[in-house]
Amino acid sequence: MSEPLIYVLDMAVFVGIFAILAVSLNLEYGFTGLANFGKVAFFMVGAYTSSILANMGFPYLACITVATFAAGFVGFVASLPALKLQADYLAIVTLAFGEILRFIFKNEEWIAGGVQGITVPSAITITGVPIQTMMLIQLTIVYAALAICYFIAQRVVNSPYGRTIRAIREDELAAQVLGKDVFKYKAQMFTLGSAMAGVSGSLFSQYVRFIDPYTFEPILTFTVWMMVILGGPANNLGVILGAVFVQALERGARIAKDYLLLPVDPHNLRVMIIGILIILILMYRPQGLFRESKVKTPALEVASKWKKRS
Amino acid sequence: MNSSATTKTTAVLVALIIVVAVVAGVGGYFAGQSAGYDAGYKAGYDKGVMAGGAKAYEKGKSEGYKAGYETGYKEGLKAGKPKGPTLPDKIKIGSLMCLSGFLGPMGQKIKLGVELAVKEINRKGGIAGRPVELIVEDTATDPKTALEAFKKLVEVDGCKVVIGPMASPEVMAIGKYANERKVVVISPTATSPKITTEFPDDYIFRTVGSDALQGKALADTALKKGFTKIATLVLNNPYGIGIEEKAKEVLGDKIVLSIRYDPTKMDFRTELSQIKDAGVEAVIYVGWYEDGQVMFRQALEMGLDNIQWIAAEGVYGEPMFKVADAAEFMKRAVIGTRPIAPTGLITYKLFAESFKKEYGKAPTMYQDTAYDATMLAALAIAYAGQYDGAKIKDALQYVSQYYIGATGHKMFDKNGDQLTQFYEIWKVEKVDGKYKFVGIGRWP
Repeated sequence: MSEPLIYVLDMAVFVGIFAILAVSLNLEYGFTGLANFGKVAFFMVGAYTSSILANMGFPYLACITVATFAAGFVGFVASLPALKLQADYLAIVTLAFGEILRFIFKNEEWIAGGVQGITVPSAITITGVPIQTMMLIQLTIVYAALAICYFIAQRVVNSPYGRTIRAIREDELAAQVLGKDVFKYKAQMFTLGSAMAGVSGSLFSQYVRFIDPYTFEPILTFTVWMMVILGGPANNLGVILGAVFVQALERGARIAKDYLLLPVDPHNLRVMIIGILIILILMYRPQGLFRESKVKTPALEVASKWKKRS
Repeated sequence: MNSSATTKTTAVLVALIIVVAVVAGVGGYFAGQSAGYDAGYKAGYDKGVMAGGAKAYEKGKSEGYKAGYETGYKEGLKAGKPKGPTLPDKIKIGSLMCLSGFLGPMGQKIKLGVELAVKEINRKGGIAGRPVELIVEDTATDPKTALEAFKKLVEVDGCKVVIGPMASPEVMAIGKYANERKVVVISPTATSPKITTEFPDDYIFRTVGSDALQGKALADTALKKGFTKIATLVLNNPYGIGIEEKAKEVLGDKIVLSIRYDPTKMDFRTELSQIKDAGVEAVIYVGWYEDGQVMFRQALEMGLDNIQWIAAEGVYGEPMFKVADAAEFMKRAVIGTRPIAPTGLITYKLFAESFKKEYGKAPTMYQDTAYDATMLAALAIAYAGQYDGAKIKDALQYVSQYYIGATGHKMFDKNGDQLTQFYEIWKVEKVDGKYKFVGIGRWP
């Protein structure tokens, strides 16, 4: 019989997977100012690497680890030529990079079935367990990964390193004048962001268990962008809430249509709502729903205590 | 067709109608017995055979078929018997259709076939007196969205039977989940042979033939015409590749050039000049409307109308004539195949009549297979007498042996594929300044 709980759990899993992507894009765009419009490419590398290894019989831990490194490596290689470009051109190049990669997977049948796609064996098989329990296991894995990514991201942005990348975002020239190797920092953040996208891709492929090139169209990148812009760039918690919001709106529209009588198909209405929201936010609250998180360092804490005392 | 053949066909049809009527009775019998309710059996059997089948047999006329057919349906649907506690008060049938995205225009039409079937079922009193509620979800022609929509149908609405999804990759995406959750999936349009190999003997069914068959039909058509130098030009997706692989298997080294193209490109001069340079006698072509229009227009520009084009059903349909050059090219150089019901099938006529009455126009491709998929689902639920995926799956295998639908006998093999599928060979003619499709032969 119907199990709405499973649908809720399913949504939660997707929120987790997309939240990792949002956090990774936030590192690149929110904190470093890199307009990466090819997020889907690294997600795709993670998904395909993980699927191919899983089909060869590797345990899941190996799959996700290799997928993370593979995506990070591809991100690093892609960043070398791309980061020499100014912001707008970077956006175009990364967008094209994602599409080129997708076309390679699409046309090279030997890699992973080309357009026919590839099915992925289940990572965890426990026979005789109800599906709800399996979903909870999935959920635990995804949220554990999200927690690790969030932790890493928080550590990075609250460290001296984090202040450097924020400085680069605000004024590249000034950062250079202060003796920072801007290119190096950017490449490192791009690599880190891509590796996180690889984690997300690996989780995605083992969860949905079938991937084909049509799954990785550029729209996926823009979904992640929506989450970041709505949630608030440079606020890791904000973008996670952005992921919750976008997913809830997508799923909610599907269910709302059964109960509402609207002149427009609510499923299409969802796209309009998101569009309008983005325009409104960019016009009236460009910092997103949540402001940029304040830097937290031990020194600042001590200083604020002193301030209170005096 | 001569008169003796007509008589034979008539006899066969009458026999089939009786079978339909009998299955109603059998359905009534089993269901009645299982709940210890004899009236269902009696009513089903007596009415089904006597009133429907026997009358049809005696009269042997269209009227009789109709009565038999209608009664057969009615009794078949009723078979779940009226008082058993096992069926829910409202029976949900889910449907996944590409209402937007690349196959959007096609999905909007195919949805009508499903809706028509549900309307008819409810008009006949629903399944065992319970109304059918149809829940349609959009898949946006995207496997990821299809899976999400499928989960919504299964988990939120509690559907145990889903008609669709349309595209093969979508079926591939939801297949595993359907098997795990024991939900019967009947696709009216997904033709990729890979579905058979990936999901044998399980919850995935389809009311259209696998392209392993159409690939053979296209190849045979080329062989019959005596071509020895043939090119394949197909969509770079499971639909195109499925046909290409089968055609290669049949034609072997007669295929001298194989091209897969991206339908969103909208400029195919490169591909067409490759064909021109290869100097082939025929092209086996698999495309869709939008790219097909451009392909044919450019082929006409390049003078490729001097070779024979043999196309699959993707370019069969009036939208092709919107572009005048494409229509002209089709008239000059294109023949093709499409899945079709056996000729003169009375059940198709009944379906077409009903469709026209409901929507004011004649049915087009795949609306009939969608209708059949829905009808089969309803009959299977009635026969199972329970809203339970595993039971419905078994019942579906069983009722399909006796079901003669709009597209003919819909018997499934053990993989849930169609046992037989007929194809029409068509060409385009211009009559009174208007282009139209005409049938010129059949396969097999």
